[in-house]
Amino acid sequence: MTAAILLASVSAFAQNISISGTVTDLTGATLEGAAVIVDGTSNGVITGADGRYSINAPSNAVLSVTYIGFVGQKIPVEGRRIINVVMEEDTNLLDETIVVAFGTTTKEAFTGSAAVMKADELQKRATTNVTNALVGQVAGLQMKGASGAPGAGSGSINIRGISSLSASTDPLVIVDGAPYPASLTNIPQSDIESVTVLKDAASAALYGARGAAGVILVTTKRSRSRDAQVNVDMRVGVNSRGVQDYDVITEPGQFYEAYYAALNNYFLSTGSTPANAFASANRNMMNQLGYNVYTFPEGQYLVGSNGKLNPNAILGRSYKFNGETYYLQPDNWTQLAYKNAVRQDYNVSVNGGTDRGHFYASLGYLNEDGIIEYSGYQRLSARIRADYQVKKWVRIGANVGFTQSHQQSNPNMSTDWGSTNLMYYTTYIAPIYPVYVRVMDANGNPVIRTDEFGHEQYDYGVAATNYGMGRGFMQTGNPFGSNRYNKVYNEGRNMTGTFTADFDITSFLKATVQSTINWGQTLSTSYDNPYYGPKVGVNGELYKGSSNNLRFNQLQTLTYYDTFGNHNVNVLLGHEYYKTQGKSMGITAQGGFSPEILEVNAFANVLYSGTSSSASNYNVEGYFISAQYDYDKKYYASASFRRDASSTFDVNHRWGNFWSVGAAWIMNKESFLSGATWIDQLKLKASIGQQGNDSIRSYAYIDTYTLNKASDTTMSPEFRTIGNEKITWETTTNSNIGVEYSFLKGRITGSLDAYFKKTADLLFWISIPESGGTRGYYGNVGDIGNRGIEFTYNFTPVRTNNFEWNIGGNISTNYAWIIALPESKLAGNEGYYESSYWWTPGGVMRDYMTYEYAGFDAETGQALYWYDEDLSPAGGKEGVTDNVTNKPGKNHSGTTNAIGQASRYTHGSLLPKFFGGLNTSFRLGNFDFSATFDYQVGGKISDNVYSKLMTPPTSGSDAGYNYHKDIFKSWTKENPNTDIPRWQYGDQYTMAGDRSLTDASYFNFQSVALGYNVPVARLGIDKVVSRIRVYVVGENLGYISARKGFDPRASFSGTSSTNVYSPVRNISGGIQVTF
Amino acid sequence: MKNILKLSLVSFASLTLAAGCIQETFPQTSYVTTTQAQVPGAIDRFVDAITATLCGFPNYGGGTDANDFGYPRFYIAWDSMGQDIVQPNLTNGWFNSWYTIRGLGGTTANSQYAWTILYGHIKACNAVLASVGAEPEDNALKPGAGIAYFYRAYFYLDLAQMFANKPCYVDGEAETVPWVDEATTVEQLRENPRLKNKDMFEHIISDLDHAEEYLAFYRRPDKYTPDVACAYGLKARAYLLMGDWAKAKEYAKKAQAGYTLMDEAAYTSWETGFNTPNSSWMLGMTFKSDNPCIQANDADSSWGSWMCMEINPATSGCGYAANYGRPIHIDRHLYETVPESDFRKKCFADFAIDGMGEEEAIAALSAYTNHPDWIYETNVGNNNPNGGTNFKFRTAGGEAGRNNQYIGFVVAVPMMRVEEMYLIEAEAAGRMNEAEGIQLLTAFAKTRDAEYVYGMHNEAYYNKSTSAFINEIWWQRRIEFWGEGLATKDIKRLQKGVIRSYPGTNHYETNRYNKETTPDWMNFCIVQTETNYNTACTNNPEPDYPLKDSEEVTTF
Repeated sequence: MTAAILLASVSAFAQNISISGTVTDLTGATLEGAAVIVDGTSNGVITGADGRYSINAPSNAVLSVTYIGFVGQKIPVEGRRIINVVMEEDTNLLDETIVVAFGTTTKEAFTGSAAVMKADELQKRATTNVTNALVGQVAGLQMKGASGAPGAGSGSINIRGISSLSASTDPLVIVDGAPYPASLTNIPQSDIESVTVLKDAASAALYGARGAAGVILVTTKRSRSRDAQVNVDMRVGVNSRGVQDYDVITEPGQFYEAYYAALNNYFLSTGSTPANAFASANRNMMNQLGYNVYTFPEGQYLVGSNGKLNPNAILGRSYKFNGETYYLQPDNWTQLAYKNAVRQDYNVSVNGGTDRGHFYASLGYLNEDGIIEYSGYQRLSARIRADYQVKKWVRIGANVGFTQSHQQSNPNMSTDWGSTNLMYYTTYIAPIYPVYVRVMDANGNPVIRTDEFGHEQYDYGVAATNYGMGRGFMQTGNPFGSNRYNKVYNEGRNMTGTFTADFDITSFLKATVQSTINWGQTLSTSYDNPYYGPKVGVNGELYKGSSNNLRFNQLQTLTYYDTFGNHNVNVLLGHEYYKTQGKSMGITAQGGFSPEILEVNAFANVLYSGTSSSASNYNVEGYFISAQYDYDKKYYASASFRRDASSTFDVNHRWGNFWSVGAAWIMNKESFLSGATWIDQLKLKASIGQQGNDSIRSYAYIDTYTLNKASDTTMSPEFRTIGNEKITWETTTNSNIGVEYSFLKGRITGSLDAYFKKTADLLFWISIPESGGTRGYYGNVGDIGNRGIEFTYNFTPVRTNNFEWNIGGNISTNYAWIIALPESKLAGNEGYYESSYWWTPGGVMRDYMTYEYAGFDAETGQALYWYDEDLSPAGGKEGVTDNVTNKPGKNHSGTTNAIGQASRYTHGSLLPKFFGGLNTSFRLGNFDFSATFDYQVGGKISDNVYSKLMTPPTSGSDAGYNYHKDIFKSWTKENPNTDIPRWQYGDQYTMAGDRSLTDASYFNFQSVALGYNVPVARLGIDKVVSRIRVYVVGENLGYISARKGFDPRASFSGTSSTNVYSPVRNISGGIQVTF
Repeated sequence: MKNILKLSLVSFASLTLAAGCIQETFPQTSYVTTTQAQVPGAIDRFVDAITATLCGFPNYGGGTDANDFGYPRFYIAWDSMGQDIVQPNLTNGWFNSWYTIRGLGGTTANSQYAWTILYGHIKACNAVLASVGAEPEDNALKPGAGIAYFYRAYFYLDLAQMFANKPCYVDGEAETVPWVDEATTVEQLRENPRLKNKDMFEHIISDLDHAEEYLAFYRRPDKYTPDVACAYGLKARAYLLMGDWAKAKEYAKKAQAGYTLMDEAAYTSWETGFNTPNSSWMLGMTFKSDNPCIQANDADSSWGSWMCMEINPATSGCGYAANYGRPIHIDRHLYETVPESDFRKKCFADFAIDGMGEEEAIAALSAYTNHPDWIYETNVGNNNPNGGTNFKFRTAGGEAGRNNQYIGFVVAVPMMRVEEMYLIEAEAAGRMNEAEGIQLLTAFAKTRDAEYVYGMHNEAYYNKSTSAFINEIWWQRRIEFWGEGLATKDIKRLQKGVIRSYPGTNHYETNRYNKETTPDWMNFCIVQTETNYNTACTNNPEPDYPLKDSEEVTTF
């Protein structure tokens, strides 16, 4: 309520004095509407919009100050005339509301399991996509593979383990009550009031078909009732690279030596004389690497017979080609690739209201430059959220958000073709290759060659177009050149409009109608330049794409609520219909007039295979009912039921039923605990329910045929997939039992949850022999389980008016296993091998199955692998003719150096033992500080990058890849005491199998925030400004893992990858001003 | 009363906003459901599907591999396994595995190509036969059935030769691949043993009998669609493998009708050399300018990119062979056994060029191309010799094609030429009556080399059990069909060894393997996407990878 109510002052004492001051929160924000009452009287006032009050009271009186959501205070006046009050938020509010499916509930009444992050915590983060702030903060949530590219979407998220094998395991994202499949990057962090992660059935089963993998609810800010308040937040910071490099060779000479050694060892092993091997190794090295960047006397070799660089060799080489004098010198690709970049984030919001209506409006601008040149993200966002009490019984509301974004990225950040992926180059290219083509200038100094347009020429490694020699590494590509002269950008527009109407039909019956439209449009442009690289011949190539997505969500609910004595009942009846329509078009054209006009109208030749248009449709409908009951706020019960249909399935198999029941018992309200005053709250809760998952490819229920062009007038259908008419939902039965506790006036709080999930009728990829023209189809077979424990805690060792220190954290375990698998998949075996894992009923999930390294041959240094004589003919056992690699070996019968004879063994689950987060914060006077960390203990990932860097060249195809310095510890006759096999050309399998498995534990310093609340009242500027806060925030500050350069956060799937835009470290300073 | 008003309003609002209930959806993109596929004329479209993606489409994957351009990719992979093709062992070597003999086991992607692509095409044939029936009565449906039978036989013949470790005429019991036809159910696939050679060839002949019948009166629109002569030709191939010399001879002869041998002008044309069908081509396939493999990835995922040398480095700079240092050369020994008077020698650059200075070398190369400077620079710049450079497969579209690979790589690729029928006829005849065989062979050879003398090409390649006549036939086939996908099949058929290591060899170091028997690496491994789920399917052992260069030999 905004109206200031002056409570009647009834008594007056002779010693009455006039007392005034401001009421603020811990951050210095003034609190409007706080009640200041002379204790024991009805004499009181309410603070104004500026947080000020003025009251007459006896000089020995006690002032009682209260404000909803804050801990009340009693302050003896003691003759003071100015008393400023700092209110502390009540973090232990038992009736704290949390957002749940189709409404809100109180924390106490909630029978499920959820985690909430609120605006004040988000304010301490510098994320462009809010999901990044959840890592380490939400027990049971893991995110992997997040890209540092400006404006990137979130990584893949798993909540409470692996909920499906073949269907998607991404959680459902709901923004303001409607599904939001677009990227959350569209919503500025500062517009978000709260993020709730629903983890169990009691909280998520109302989302029926789509909630099995968890639900993330995002709620945008609304106005509180008060006079207009203007909030300005500006932050500027620096982005830098957040990962380290592997310890690779950086000296060109050392690289040549390493390459030479591999070849020399090879030739010696084939029986060559040392003299012949020396010559062959030098010759083949130059032939394969292509580039020699040293100058040394004619008739000598680059690497001497002692394996060391020719002492006469000088780095840099000039030579003549086509009448020009060129100059070769290596460049540091990594150094050239990365830079520090500026991130700017500005937000202005206004909120206010009257007794009939409220509004919140905001405008935001984000400009995030990438740490790689020519990448960046700009976002302009606006939102208005308003509601209005039209009649006493009807309130309407609207919430409209619009985002315009421009994402500039580097060409080919995907793994396609690889030839322009900058990450790939910086990770692997040998330190001998130049980025630029250089020539000698008039003074005999090497300079970068420029062409007739003044463009710097990049080295694409192609003999004919560069300087007459072919580069060993990734010929035809140069990501620097591509980045510089090519253009790739996406312009995004996203608008969400929500209309709501709430009807109070009677005092116990309420109806709500909500309609949401989300429209997203992405216009993509990708342009290959006409100066350098592969599109010179066609004078540039342009791709323009447009994708439009319209999503409608219609929701009608009817709520009945009533109280009978101590019985409170709330029943919700609802219907929801959700429909998405995607339309996309694309066109590719060659032969541009000018790089300044990147529109197809300015291009000569449209390509058929680069031209497309298509549409996609999906809809789901559900009817649901949920009921909440409590007796005397002591015993709570909840139940829900939903019947859903999804267009993903055949007409006859698309309806499914989902349900949940839950209960909570507020134990501290029982008489037997009434004596334990140190207990603020002790709640026991339990829930069980079923949720569904329909996230598989469309039309898996019917045979499909790909249309290919057969002639200019006909398309021909070619078999594509087998359909299975009967496929339907996979169903996850999800049970949860937990305790929530708060002790010692909120000094110790937290929760402990244990869960058990069983996903049955898995949407399973059923493989068939590929001779059938396809590799399989989907069916509902097999069951998997996940069980785990989540513990969260928050501890406040010190809490005084001026100083407070909090320590918090969470720790989660999850065990995922296979309960049952289809007989057809087992094909008579105990299990099956697929995607590097062994799947067997009763076995753990992600049981890595691969060759097992057995050390190396003491005589030759060659890597050895185990075989099982029952599976491999290597053992010479009668009847064993083929090497069986789709079953795990049981016996370690012997070792072989031929991988084709080795057996695969299981190596246990790659999943972590436990993971979680830590955070600490303290407040000292006007300063506050907080830091968050996340970690994972146990688990393994195949470190593919290390593996590649440790594998010797196996043919000329591998030439030009760099090597890890560990190769210098390789076995030689002189160095037999090592754990690294010999370094020899052609040894393809030195790092095969479990040799590249690496401990995936990590500890990450995720974020830090340091703030100072300027004492506006003391400075006397509180008439103008009610609050000023200056702060520094940091994200992604550093991590520790098993090996320098190795980032276990890259992937869930057990292998690390190079092609992801490095995670970015950000440090920003900001100021937040409230008027 | 007021509540009624409210309720009405709520109901109205709900109804107007509800606006829908669950709807069935249908694909609106580049694929259709079975239901959608039922359009007028659908069967013709399904027949088109058998040949529509033979080349120019990335049948294996999503279009990310430069060796994934359809059926002709197999020619390069197969031929690389022997000695006739030389590949620089360098970066971007999309066919390296088959040349260096690495990574060919059943768990590798390399073993996937055969299954995904060839069984994919077989599925297209089966889809037609399932639709029109195994023995259609309706005359309008017969050509479609005939095409399906023809191609099913065609691909099974490839598979049989790839996977059996002995030719049919030597060992009828050797295992080929599982047989899948239009009647095979998913359950049968799960326990579907590899057919023995003799059973596989029985199926192939049966399919070709049907093809012969249904294509008897079919007039094909172009050389990219089979007709009855092609069925004769394929039968000739099959009977030759079966050792049924009489039938092989009979069908090879029947197939020749209406076709003429390529003459020197056609064979060595700088413009249309092996990129345009002519009167000798019985069956071919063609890239089209709008194929994904031409329009994506700079047209570099295409046959032309690997086989055509003449692409302007300044205006295009593309092509694995022309510009990326990956040309496919001819084996030096094979080249040197070709007499100067044989016009086919003009398809390959003389090895003497490597001893020349730049100007002289460019002048010498101008005997093969209008752009000897391009050839010289790309070879020298990539540390490849000029000798042995392949000029057999030419870019299309004249100078425009040489300046722009999007035009130049739009080439046709032969699948069956009448020359092969002459040589099958000669071989089959000679197997029964050597004198007749020699006479037929000599007649053919003289069209290539007017000064041809029988008996100059008796090289055993370790297998001395074949007669001089067979060796002579083999030599003719090696040079006549160089690069056309027959080399490894012939090595297996004639059970020859391999010789890459000899004095003066142009095979690259670390790949100079000699093998005294037919190498086991030519017996392809079945990919695990079959063996993991087909319980009755055995596999060929992963080959013993050669570890080092062999000693040089001087007798062949």
